[in-house]
Amino acid sequence: MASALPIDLAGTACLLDGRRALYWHAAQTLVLADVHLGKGEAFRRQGVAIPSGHTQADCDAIAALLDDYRPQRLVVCGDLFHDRIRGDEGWLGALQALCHRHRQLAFDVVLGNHDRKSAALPDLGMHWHAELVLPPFVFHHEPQSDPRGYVLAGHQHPVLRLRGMGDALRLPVFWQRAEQAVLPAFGSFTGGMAVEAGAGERLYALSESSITPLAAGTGAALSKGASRCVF
Amino acid sequence: MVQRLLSTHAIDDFFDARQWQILPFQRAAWQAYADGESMLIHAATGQGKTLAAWLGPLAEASDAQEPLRVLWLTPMRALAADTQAQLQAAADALQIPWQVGLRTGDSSSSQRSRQRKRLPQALVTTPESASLLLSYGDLLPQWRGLRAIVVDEWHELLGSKRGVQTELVMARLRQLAPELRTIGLSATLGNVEQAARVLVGPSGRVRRIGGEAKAPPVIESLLPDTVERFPWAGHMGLSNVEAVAQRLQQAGSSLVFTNTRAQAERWHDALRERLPAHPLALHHASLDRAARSAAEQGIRDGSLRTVVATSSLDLGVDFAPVELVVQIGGPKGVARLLQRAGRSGHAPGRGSHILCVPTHALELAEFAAARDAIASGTLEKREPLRNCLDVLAQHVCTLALSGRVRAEEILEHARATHAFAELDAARWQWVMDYVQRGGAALQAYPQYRKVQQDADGVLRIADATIARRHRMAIGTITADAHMQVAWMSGGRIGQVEERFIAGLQPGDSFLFGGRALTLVRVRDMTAYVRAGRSRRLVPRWAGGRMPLSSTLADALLTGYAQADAGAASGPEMDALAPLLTLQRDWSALPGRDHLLVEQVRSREGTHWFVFPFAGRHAHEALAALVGWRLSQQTPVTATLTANDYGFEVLASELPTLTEPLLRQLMTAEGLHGDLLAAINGTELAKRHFREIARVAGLVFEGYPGRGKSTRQVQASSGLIFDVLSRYDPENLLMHQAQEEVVRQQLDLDRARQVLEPLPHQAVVLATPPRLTPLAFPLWAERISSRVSSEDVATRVARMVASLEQAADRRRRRALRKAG
Repeated sequence: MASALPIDLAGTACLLDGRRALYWHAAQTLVLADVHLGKGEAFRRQGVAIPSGHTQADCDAIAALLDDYRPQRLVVCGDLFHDRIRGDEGWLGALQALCHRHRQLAFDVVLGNHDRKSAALPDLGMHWHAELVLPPFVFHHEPQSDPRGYVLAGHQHPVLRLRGMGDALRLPVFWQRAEQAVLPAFGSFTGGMAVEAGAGERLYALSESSITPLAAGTGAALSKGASRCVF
Repeated sequence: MVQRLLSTHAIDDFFDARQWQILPFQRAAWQAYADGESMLIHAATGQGKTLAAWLGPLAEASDAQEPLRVLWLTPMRALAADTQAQLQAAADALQIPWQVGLRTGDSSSSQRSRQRKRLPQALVTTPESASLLLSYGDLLPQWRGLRAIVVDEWHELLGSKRGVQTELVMARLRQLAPELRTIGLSATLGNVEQAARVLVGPSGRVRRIGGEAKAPPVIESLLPDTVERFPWAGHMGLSNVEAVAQRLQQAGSSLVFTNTRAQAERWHDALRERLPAHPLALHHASLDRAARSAAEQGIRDGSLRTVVATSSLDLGVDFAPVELVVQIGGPKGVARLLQRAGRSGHAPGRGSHILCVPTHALELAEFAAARDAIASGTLEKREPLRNCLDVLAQHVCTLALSGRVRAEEILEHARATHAFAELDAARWQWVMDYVQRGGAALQAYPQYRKVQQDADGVLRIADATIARRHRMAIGTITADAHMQVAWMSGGRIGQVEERFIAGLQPGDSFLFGGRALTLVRVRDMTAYVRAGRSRRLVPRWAGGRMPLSSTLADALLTGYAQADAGAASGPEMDALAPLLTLQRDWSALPGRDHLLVEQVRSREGTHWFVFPFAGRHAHEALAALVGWRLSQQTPVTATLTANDYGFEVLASELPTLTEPLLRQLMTAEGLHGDLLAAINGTELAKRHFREIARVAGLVFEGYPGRGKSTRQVQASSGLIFDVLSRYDPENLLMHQAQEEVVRQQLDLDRARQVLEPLPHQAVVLATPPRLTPLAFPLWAERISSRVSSEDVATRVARMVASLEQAADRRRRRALRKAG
């Protein structure tokens, strides 16, 4: 069983899953961000030889989460697709099958900057939103403050670099801030942006086997000076 | 009938007018060329190799209407302009109406399109630009009149992927112009015969022409007043600034060579502070061309007394010899020290002289060993590379751009090179599949298209965007991603590695190009700076650090063995005596007939130090091997560190090291397989893949000024490595990355030479009370990799705990201060 950790967001009980997902109990809603389906195809079209497979794997990972949590609703905070959809993508079938199997599921996607490349988005039963308000939360793609509620967003692909005791790791993080939280990128073919927690913020370093909460100051206690701490 | 414009008289007059003498090897080269032969001319710097190569083709000149006759390849862009001026000047003086053109990545686009219409009679260019020229189909007829290809500094290209690229370019040109003669120019090296054969390929004929024998240089070491008992590898030898400054003041002109760019920056800064009125400049490969040219010109015209330089000045930048050459730090190789020494004192009756300055005490032994090796005439070899599929894939795409070549033609000339002489049908098929379909035929990548084959077998790249991107990316020089450094007010200063800039915040200051700079902002792969104050931070450039050559290591171990027997002599070993005594009292001296191993416990955990003296790369391999084999027996996260003398395995808990355990961990059995498994567990293969990914067209750097044009296809090579290892593990580029790591980065052959004799060798296992003089530099180095058989959670927990402890200590200190 993958790692999971209960956390409280805007006074609401949630469960953080080490597979880069967030589950909101009361609304039975699973939240993901930055899946970037079809990124390999986009590269191949440009003459860069990336093998196929990661999009299928990401679809399978979504399916596994849906099987585990059996949510009523799935929200993706933007960038479900990496590039304009042309209709000949091999994985569209897999996504279609997934949507068909879970057709009772409300599937809401906030438009991300990558999704906007498609003039017409494929009709697989999901609902597209510029933003989505489900109190106490407001779902955006790009992190921002919103007076209507606590913002859940993606876009930044936050990761943490940990160093110390002669060891080093780079892990995706869930970044909990005062008025918003940034989800890690879900897609397996995505890069990341190193972040540090500010005062009063928290980072949760995620791996399949563990979730490690880091208070402000600890993560910042250096990616830079860790080697000094060893001696 | 071709009318010869050049008579023997004209050549004699040309030399006489300059008060030069024609040397026998120059005559031999001209004769060989006239006889239609290819050749490798090997001679020390400053003997006139350029004229030996140039006058042969010039002697066959007929008029100013001729097509391209000579293609002159030089490894460094910085040298190209110099060479062009030199060749043109000689042609003009001899009244040959030839145009010598220049074409490098720095050439303007108007210059380039003029050249494409009509090439000059001679063209000076780099291997990358030459490769690019082969991508233009309309140039094809112009190559057919080519008579000579000259490869300058062949010893620099040999042993690198740029050398492989050069081999492919030459082979293609021979296909187009079958009468083509090849002239290689090289410094002295240990495998001249092989270097000559690689130049022309396995079926080519080649002559070797050697320069004049020279008297060995005087090698003098700067002996510190007191030898520090604990040599610190991280430090730059700056305690010797005073002594060096005095010698520089006495000498008329001088060059100060360092091993790294960071060292050059530091020494330049320290010397300028110590000698404010002394005309002094800095020269290294990351500086802007204008700054480098100014330093070269200053040495030439005497306006500068001293230039602090890295290996950027090792290559044939041409200037009169200086009076004194200073080498900062261990030379790492015998040939390199010899070449640097050769920069001084060509005046008749005066040999060359080099002053060697240690950055830590043990380097004194290296200087003594280098002197011994030079005396016995032992020099290093440069091993040519083979079967670099990334370079071949790039070459295929480049030729496909011309739209005039069939696959069979490419295979034919590729197999005529040393690099691909043994390319088998399966690997060739894989390369063709890769460029056409992305991967092996059975798992063709959907939507992928780069190279397409016509019905008549001609290869093409139809997509204009892909074609343009490939042309931009041609080249195998593949250091880390670089960022331009430029003033806010305009004007470039040079380049630094992206990783260094990424670690800075706007407002941070650093020392670069001899100036303190403050970072203002980063945009489009350019770091904008203004003048700053702090000189504390110096960028560290990866790469360029040669491992200790086996030639020098052998001489070094011989020196230690003599010291152990009380038979060492010479100023260096005498100065080292107190340190060697301490080493022997606490542990033992290294030697040729035994392996020295030390086990020490400290606050950090248990350290194993092993000293095979096989060079940094082989030690990285052995450290990875020992760490990995250990991790198979017990869950452990070990830090591995290597330097030229040995390696360290450090972990919070290590089993007690016994001789049987050590012999078990260091058995030669299963070396190759275990090493492959070991590097998969570290980031090494991944890091090395960056280079292959770039050559093979899998990643693109941003380009200054067109930062966004390639962004939609940018992904880090690490990410691509992960995707490939999961979804196409049979991809031959992955295999190549592993093999290159094992062969080059890790020097498998030298590692094997350590392990194979070990069963018949004594192991001296010492448990010194604390770090010994030999172990200390390793401990201080900390350029380490890791091997781990623990899960992520355990590792995260331990790192977080250590960070929290450190934070607590800081808080307590802050409280104490406040109280």
